[in-house]
Amino acid sequence: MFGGSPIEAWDGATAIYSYAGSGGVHLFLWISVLLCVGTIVASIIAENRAEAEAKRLQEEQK
Amino acid sequence: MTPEELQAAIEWSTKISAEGYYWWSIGLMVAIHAGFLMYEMGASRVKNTLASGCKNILAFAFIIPTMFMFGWWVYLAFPHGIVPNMEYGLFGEPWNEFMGPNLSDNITGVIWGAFVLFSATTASIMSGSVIERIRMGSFIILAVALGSFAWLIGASWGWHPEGWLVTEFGYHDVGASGVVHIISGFFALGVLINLGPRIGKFGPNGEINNLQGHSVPMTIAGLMIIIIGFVGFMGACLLYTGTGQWGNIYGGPTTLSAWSFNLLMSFGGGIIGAYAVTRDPFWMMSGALGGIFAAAAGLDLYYPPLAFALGFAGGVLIPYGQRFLEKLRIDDAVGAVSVHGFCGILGVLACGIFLDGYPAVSESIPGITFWGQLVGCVVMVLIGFVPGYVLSLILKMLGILRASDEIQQVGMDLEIPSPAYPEQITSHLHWRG
Repeated sequence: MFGGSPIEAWDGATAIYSYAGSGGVHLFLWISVLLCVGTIVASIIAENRAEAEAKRLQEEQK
Repeated sequence: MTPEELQAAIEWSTKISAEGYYWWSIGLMVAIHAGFLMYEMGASRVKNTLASGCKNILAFAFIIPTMFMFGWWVYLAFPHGIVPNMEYGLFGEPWNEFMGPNLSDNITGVIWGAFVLFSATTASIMSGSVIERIRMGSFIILAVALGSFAWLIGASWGWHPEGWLVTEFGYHDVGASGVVHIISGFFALGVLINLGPRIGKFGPNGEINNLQGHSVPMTIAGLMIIIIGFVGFMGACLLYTGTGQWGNIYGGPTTLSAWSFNLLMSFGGGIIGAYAVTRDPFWMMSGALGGIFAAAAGLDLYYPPLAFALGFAGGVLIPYGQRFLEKLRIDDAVGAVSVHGFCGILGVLACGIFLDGYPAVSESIPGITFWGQLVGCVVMVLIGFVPGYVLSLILKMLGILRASDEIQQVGMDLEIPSPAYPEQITSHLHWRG
């Protein structure tokens, strides 16, 4: 569907991974970078919310 | 040493290396079952702990003789469809000269052994879903039906080099996303529909209750041990020729390095994806499995960041898949349908989307296409769901599928001679007292 094959035959093939030698490699590399960075950012946001919630609960107890 | 002696020594070395390779993969795959054992016992409430463990151990044990009696024959005999090829099946007949110690054959036993461990994995996948209410006898019948028959039909069609899905549609599934995980996940779904939920899982007004297992740390550690076992599982999916490049299950060229890249990238992606949407270590480790299954079908060909992205998608998918089933009032105690069934579908279809256009190893069979993968996916769903649903319906009609409400309330460990935690299990002791 997205034509990931860099080869047409197996004889003499070397780098056989999908999108080898094309822009698809950079696309998926950047997608994986964004997934990692996005998850770290989401983690920081969630932790900040948890910190704020903990402070709110402590203040309510006082 | 003469050239003839040298040649003979090389041939022996090659043969024994191959034998050793599969032997150690069998050993590693036992870790899958150690992990499933911990996982299921931890996911059970205290009163059901040992019954869940007993059930899981018996699934493994019954798969071994039934794979010898008929399972291996099923795999060898059915590549061309529903009519067995008796000539192909000869080598799997339990009275065949190669089905036992034979000094002229170093390979049959270790390949059979690897398939036994694949089979036991399918039974263990179903095992977790049905804990805390299925009766032991029916569970064993279902485990044997899945592990020593249903998945082997799928493997014969979609894994065997002459399987009709391979030769007619170019079906590609080197790491068993479909032949193991879709089939097992949908077999479990068919059983769950007839088995019904655990008492208390769903309230009368549509509430969905969390029946928390008694040891989440044991469950999570068990999941990590399953991952160790899957390194052996994936290794055993390769063909060791000893005379040239490694082969995938279809004989296409590949390398262990390719599998190392993509197995680890999809594992990491699955954990991170599940973390992104749940922050829950149970789902994170389930995501590790789901991530691997989302990439397993094309483990030999993906660019590693693509395997990572697929793993991430698998990790994101599983908690939503589980919630979807719960909305349908289907109680999958460990999320196995979502992790194996839904991520298996993702894996098989992703292969058709991203690996479209790869040639087959032989010019006489088609290469990878989306439509070939879609056909394979539908076939795998049906091979899993139909026997799981029909057989469990028969067992239900016979009144031997589901434990009574009374036993569920007291605890399934009632049938076990010793309690799991003597100092804690009050319900168990009171009942006996």
